[in-house]
Amino acid sequence: MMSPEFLRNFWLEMTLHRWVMMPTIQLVLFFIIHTMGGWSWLHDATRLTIVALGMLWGVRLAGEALIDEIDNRTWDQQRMSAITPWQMSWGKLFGSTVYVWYGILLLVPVFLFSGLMAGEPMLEAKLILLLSGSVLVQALALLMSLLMVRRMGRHRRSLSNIALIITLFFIITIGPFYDEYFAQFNWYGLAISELVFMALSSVVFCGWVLLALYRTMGEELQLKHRPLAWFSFSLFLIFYVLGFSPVAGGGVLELNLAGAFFITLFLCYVMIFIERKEPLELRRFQVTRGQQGWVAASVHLPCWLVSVAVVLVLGVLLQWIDTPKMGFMETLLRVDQVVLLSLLFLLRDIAIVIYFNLTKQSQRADATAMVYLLLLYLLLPMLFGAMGMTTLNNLLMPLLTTNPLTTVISGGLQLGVVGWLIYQRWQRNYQPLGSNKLGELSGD
Amino acid sequence: MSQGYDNRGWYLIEVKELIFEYPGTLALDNVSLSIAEGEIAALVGPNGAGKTTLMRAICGLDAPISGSVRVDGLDVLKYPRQAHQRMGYLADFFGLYNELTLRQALHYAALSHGIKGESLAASIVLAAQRLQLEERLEQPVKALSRGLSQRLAIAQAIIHQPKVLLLDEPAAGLDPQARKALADLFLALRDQGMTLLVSSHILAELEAYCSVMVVVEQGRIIDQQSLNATHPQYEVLQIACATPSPTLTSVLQDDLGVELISEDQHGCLIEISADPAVQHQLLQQLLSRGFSVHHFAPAQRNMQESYLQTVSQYQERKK
Repeated sequence: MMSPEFLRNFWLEMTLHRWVMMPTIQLVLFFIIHTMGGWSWLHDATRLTIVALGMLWGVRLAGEALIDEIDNRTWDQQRMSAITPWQMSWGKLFGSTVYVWYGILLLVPVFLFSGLMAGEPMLEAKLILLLSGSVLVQALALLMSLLMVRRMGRHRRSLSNIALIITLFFIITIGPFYDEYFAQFNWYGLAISELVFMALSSVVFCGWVLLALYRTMGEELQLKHRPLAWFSFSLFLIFYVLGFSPVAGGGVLELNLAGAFFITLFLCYVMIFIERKEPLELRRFQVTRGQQGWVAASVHLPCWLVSVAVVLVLGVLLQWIDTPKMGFMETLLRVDQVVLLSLLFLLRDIAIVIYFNLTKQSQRADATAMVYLLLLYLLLPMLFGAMGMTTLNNLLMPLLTTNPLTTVISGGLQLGVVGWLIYQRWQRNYQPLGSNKLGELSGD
Repeated sequence: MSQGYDNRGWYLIEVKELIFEYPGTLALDNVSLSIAEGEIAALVGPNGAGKTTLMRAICGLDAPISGSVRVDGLDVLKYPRQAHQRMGYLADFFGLYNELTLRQALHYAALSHGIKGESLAASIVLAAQRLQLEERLEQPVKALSRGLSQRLAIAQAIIHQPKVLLLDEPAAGLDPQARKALADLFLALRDQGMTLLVSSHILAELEAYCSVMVVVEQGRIIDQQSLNATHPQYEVLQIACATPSPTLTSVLQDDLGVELISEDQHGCLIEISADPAVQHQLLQQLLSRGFSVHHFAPAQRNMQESYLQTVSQYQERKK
């Protein structure tokens, strides 16, 4: 069904003047380029123009689609409508960028024809990479602005520049593979052309970002979801990344598990910074659990907590498989040094982020937490290095040492201190107020 | 209480034990509220009392900590999108799509509420007619005055013919003429079967059309009272005497068993059966007891008075 949001954007963007202007400019530009350099130059020019339109201009437009609604105070009106999260997602994504896509659609036949004339190989894969890459970065830009609005209750237009940084990162990462016709990736033992693999990956990740957009949009429209999509994505990412491992699919289970452990660890850090950490959501969780049980309350669980749970399970499994004859508790107590330290410092870092988010004005909380983590992981180690006291670094981060006990104790102490600070701040800022007594309400 | 019904009829809005917090601030404290079908309820209270928060929670725009909200029997927290089909909302600071024409803006509003096919054009025309905008459909939105913008925003909010319309400070910034037109519009919408909840801290503008007053103070509903008779077979009468009559109210209440609403030096406001024979009998009894009644006529409760009385009683109780 046609999205009303797409239609509204179409009315605004596609004026008669703009309908005519885009092909006219392209025609003049490409005529000049073809005259100067022939089919090869023309093909390169169309490729660059698709990148400029889809990945630069399109990203800017998609990133500002939601911000414009907030600025114009029309977002509540949209949230009060019957537009479904999917209609809203694709309507905003392709509606705000409809003019850009009009330009790209005009370019596609020129790209293919000039490519054929210039003898360019694998045109289909290149086109898929360019188009899916454009959708991917545009969807990321819209997703980021949505997450920002949900986290901060407001927006900063300047932060849409982050979306442009992601685009540049995408171009720099994927760009080198664009002309790799013969080089191959070995993925789970399959030899696949790097270009084809990147094109397919781009399509698959595009699907995940669209799913994330749909789910986040649903939450913004007050629809509740359990964090199953995030859990599925975590599993997919583990599967995807482990495909590149030399022991992928082989019998070395420990190495695959270790890979999964560190990928999930990475996802914990990503999500703790990206996701909204509204302390009152914990209250909602408590009340819903008391009134309707754990299953109903699980819609209030944050995704980062799911990742922490997965990483803990993986950590225990890792040691379990390594020492199968030991009992469960014994295993728990003898978790590998690396795993134990990683978990301990992960919890400390998460505690730091949560502590800063428990202020009443938490708009800059994540940035402040990041500064403190930079201090712990970068600046203090550099200072200790300059002072010739590098052993002190063991107290601040999960480093492998001959005396891991000191690091464990230090990490545990830091976690304890931050945990105590969290408790104090929670008591001060988030105690139930008025007649809002959890015990009474939850029936506990 | 059975779900949705009492002697006032079907409750279109039902809020139960709603708790809403902002960090460190309790915005709504165990709020319960019910508005019956066909009423125009005024949500009154000082700035910061929690009126807007309550409205946004009823609309399902913001999630409370706990409690329930039902609109036309539908759980808003559980089925927000379906509930939105049954209600319209006008925020205190609303926005419009300035680059569209009025027809396009209404077209978009209709589509976004799931109206399509043949009923689409009819909905646009009906909404425009209700708000007297049909002559301006081809004008750009940016050319509208403040009053006309308000009308367009309301037209967008009611284009799907919701059963409930919530309006947050709808008369803010309007001139007296536009306010009068707005009051007439609300009464017309009520007559067409809509139930309205209107928030404002300017009581004078609400008195013209509201039938129920809900007083919000520091995140609590401290009173909910009918400004008209509480029962369809009853009505509110004002009785005034030519000379001071200090015993009037005690006679009415104790001897004649009449429901007293408010009183002053020369008279009072009562609720009594709408039966003319009953009213005639009461008048006769008052005259026979020597009261110099010179005014005996249907009236509406004075909102300002009721509000101030409620607030002062609440503050007394708090002490």
